[in-house]
Order: sequence, then C-alpha cells, then structure tokens
Amino acid sequence: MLKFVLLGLLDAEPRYGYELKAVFERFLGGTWPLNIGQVYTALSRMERDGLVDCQVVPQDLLPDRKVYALTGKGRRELRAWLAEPDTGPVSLRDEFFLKIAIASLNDERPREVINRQRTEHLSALAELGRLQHDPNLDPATGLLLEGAMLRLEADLKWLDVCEDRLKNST
Amino acid sequence: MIELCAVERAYDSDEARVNALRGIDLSIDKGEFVAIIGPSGSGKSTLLHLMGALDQPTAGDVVLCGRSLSTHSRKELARIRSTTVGFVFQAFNLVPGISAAENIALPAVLARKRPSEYQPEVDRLLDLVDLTIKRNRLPNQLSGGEQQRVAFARALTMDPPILLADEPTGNLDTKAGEGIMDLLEASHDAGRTVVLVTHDLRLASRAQRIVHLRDGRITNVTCPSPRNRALEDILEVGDGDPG
Repeated sequence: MLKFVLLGLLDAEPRYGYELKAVFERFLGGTWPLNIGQVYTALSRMERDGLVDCQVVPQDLLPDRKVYALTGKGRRELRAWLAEPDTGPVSLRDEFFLKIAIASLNDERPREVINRQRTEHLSALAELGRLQHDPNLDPATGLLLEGAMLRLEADLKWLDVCEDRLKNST
Repeated sequence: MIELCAVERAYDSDEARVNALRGIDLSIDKGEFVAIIGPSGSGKSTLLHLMGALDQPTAGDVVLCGRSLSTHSRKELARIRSTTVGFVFQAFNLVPGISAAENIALPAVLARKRPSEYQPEVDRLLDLVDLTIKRNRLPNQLSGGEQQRVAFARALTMDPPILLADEPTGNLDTKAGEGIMDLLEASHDAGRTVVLVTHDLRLASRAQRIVHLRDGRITNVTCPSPRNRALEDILEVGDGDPG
C-alpha cells in the first residue's frame, strides 16, 4: 500500500527522498510515521521495477540529491490501483470486538465492559471533533478524520446492539 | 440545579396508556453540560420538557433551582420558566410576522419590561449571534441557520441560568449546525447549565456527561474524557509494510 501512496505523491511532482517522506507524513497528518530507510527501500524497489526514474542533482557543499519521478509504467500501475475497488474482507480485527464478544460469552460483567468501551469511543470522538476544527488541517487528513469518526459512530451503535442482545437474553 | 426524582410521564389515549418515562432519577449540577441521547421514542424530548416546566410528570417530582415544580399553579410555572429556562427547539419556533430583533425582544415584552430595559440586551444578543445587520429581517427572509441563531438569542433574552436545547441542529446543514453548537458551548463556558437532547453522537461527545435513554429509562451515564492527544495517537493509518 505504501508503494501506491508514494507513486501517487510522485505523480504530482518529482521529489527527493526526504521531501517525499515529509509530504507523505503531512498528507496523512502524521498518522503513519515512516523512517527514511523505508522510503529509500521502497524507492529502490520501484526503480528496479521501472515504476520511477531517478535523476542525480548535484548540490553546492552538500551531497548529491536523487530526485525521483514517475515513469509511464508507474503512472499506469497507479491508475490501475486507483481504478480497483478494495475487495478485501470487512475488518473486525480490533481487540474491542473480541473483548466484548468474550465478555458476553463468559458472563464477565459484559455491561461494564461495554460501558467502558463506550466512554472510550465517545472520548475519542470528542478528540477527533476538536482536531477537525484545526484551520490548518490538510484536506486529505480531514477525510481520514471524517472516516475515523464515522467508524467510531458505527462502533458505538454496535455497542448499543450488544447491550440490547444482552438485555433480551437475560 | 435540576433534580428529577422517580419521574414518570404517561400519556393516555383511547386504546392504551403509553409510558414515555418510567422512573427517572437524575441530578444536573449548576454549570454542567449534559447531553441526552437515545433512539426516537426513547423519551428524550419528554424529559427535556419536564426539566423546563413545559410539562408535568404523572408521578415523581422535578426540582428546578431548589423549587419543586409540582406545587405550583400553571401561572406560577410560566413565571418560573420565563426566568430560569431558555429553550431552543429543532423547528426554531420563531413568530413569523415580526423581525429578528422583535423575536429576540419577545420574552422581555411578555414579561412587561420597558424597551429601555431590554433593548441593550437585544442589541448585545444580535451581536453575539452575528445578526446585527439582519435585525429587521422577518424569519422567512433568513436562512435556517440564521433563524436558529435568532431562536438561540431569544432563549437568552431573560438571561436564564439554564439552557435547554431539543435537537437544535436537526434541521440544519453541518456548517450551520456547527455554529449553533459553538454558541451552546460558549454559553456553557459563560457559566450556564446546558442540557442538549440529540441523536447525534458527535455533538453529544462534546458534553461533560451523556445520559443514555431507552424506552423511557436511563440505561447508562457516560462521562467522555478527551485527553488532548495528537492525531497520530488516536488514529492509525496504513500497515507499515514498505512493500
């Protein structure tokens, strides 16, 4: 997935490694921190696969810079990725789903487990809401925030359903 | 500030008795910001109306600012309501034939105050809701968001210590709704007790305490505690796989 985000950012304009890392992190509001090694590893693989070209730009007093640009093949691969809907399974890997399912199964005061999770989700919702008010928010980060808030709201509704099922089974 | 003790509210119809509230015990402190959430028909609005003396319980008692509402006549209730509670409704409920400024002045006019007494407050409220230049517009010449801002200002005309809002953003787009939420929060910051009825979890999460209502009963009370974390500590994107 990292590969395609990097291709997408290089599609806008050619960049050198550190610049690409900075743009990547700003684009995602710092939610996906990269180390520069990861960026260079990904770039050299992409270069090997013919997805990017690298041009060496000499600098005064500083080491030469390698500026990476998308090739025609890279652009085609990016377009193909964008055109393909995500068909992966619906992800319920979060620990909280399992915790509540197990608590309900074992009669470990599931109501308390549910309510603690509800408080946590509502707190996160409040925090994300506050961050959404940041006037300097990157538009892409704003979309991620909106997605995260919608998921929290769905999870809160699921907690209501869990509580209703418990009520009906007791 | 607001106390409800074993409050019940039932409605009788020809066919059956509907129990809208079934034994509510709730105490709201001075200066608190409380949200009441729950599905439609859970009794949220009924509860808010009882808190604001717009309705009376069929059993139990509501105590507002230390005064039990069950011992008062309708006339006395109206007087208590006008000085202690401001209401904001989903449907704005402005009086159609009069201007924004006149709508805001209305509670003071009904309380037989003189214009010299209330006019400075009306001007201040128009400024607060950023409608000074539209003060002479009729409600139907204002957008939904502007009408709700007039309704919000009108709720504060008598400077009540309690502000009750029933789905105040329900008829508004996101941006206009945001404006109303900001006004509610500012009102709370200024020391008012605010009770917000909503089905919107995002709005509710901004309150200090959230009361969950289901089938006329309180099923849960939660206190969100936002921790001022950075975005990357709340949200995780990507899989970290450099492949």
